Amino acid sequence: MDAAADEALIAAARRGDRGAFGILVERYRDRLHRAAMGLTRGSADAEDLAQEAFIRAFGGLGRFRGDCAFYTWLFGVLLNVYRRWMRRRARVQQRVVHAETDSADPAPLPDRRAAASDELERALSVIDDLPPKLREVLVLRHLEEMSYVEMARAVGCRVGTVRSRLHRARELLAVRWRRARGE
Amino acid sequence: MECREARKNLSALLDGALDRGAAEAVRNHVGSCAACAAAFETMRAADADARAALRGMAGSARPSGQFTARVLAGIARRGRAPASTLWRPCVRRVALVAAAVVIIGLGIWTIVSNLPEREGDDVAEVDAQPTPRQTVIVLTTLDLPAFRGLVDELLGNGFPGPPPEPEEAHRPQLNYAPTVVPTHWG
Repeated sequence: MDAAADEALIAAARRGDRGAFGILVERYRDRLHRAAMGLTRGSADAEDLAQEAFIRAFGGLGRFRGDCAFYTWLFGVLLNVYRRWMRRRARVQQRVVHAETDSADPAPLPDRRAAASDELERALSVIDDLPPKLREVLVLRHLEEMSYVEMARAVGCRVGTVRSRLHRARELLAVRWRRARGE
Repeated sequence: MECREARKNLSALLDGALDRGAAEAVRNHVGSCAACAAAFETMRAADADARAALRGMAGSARPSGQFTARVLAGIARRGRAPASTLWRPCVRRVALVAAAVVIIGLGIWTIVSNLPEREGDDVAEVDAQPTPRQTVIVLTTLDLPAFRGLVDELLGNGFPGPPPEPEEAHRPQLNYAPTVVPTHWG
């Protein structure tokens, strides 16, 4: 994307120009929506999360210092929204589990999409089981193709932390992938 | 290179994130160690599957046609203007400094306003009734006669106290005067 064009739009949006911000939304909505899909494992809430991230980004434009690409910063906002969504979801699920302790076969999550094939489904379920912080870096790497430095900025940690999280994610993936194949 | 060191770098090798020397060393090790080669191959295959799965799931997804309109409506509904780059950190800093000045000022005022008026350096000769806080200040200035007087008062002057020291000659000359510091505690 054209960083200079972004800058002009961001400056205008900071002055309250919603039209300028609308252009930024148009420019990044597909990408951010795809990232939300990756993070939420195809949840129907992904679009709401991406919208919420844009709304919060508008309110927080003053905090964007321009030391990274706008999208990297935007992704950081999405991560915050996503983490809050995860916490809320965990609380709801906990309540559901408490309410249905007798149910031997709990219903699948309503937002889970059917994958295209068994292979994909198996891979997705392995990704599902990763701790959220490990899943985040995996999504950043595979969907966003961000560098370690960009990932560190988006997640808000050091490059070394990103590197070790990614390594840990792949180690777990490998172990579970082998197990899922019965190896 | 040992297996442990090589395995720590397998993920970075997949990403091409190692410098040339390190990448070469890891590749050489993987080429000569069957266990590490198998581990690398498993990691690579699992990673490729994960990548394909994520892209397959999210890659074709598109937001609805109303996406941008909903975002702008959400912004309008909340009515929040973007925070300025400059004034927010500035205001926060000024508020912190102001709070610090107020706290320090109050502390100094409290101490100064409670200091007893002194004649010379003899704090024990206070005629007026000092407040408990003043008494504490007297104590904190290590005025031993005043402290002894307060202890006597608190103990009702009848408590035997510690046994006298055997050698009077070695007792330090502290000029004890049986001064009683009036307090409101008793």
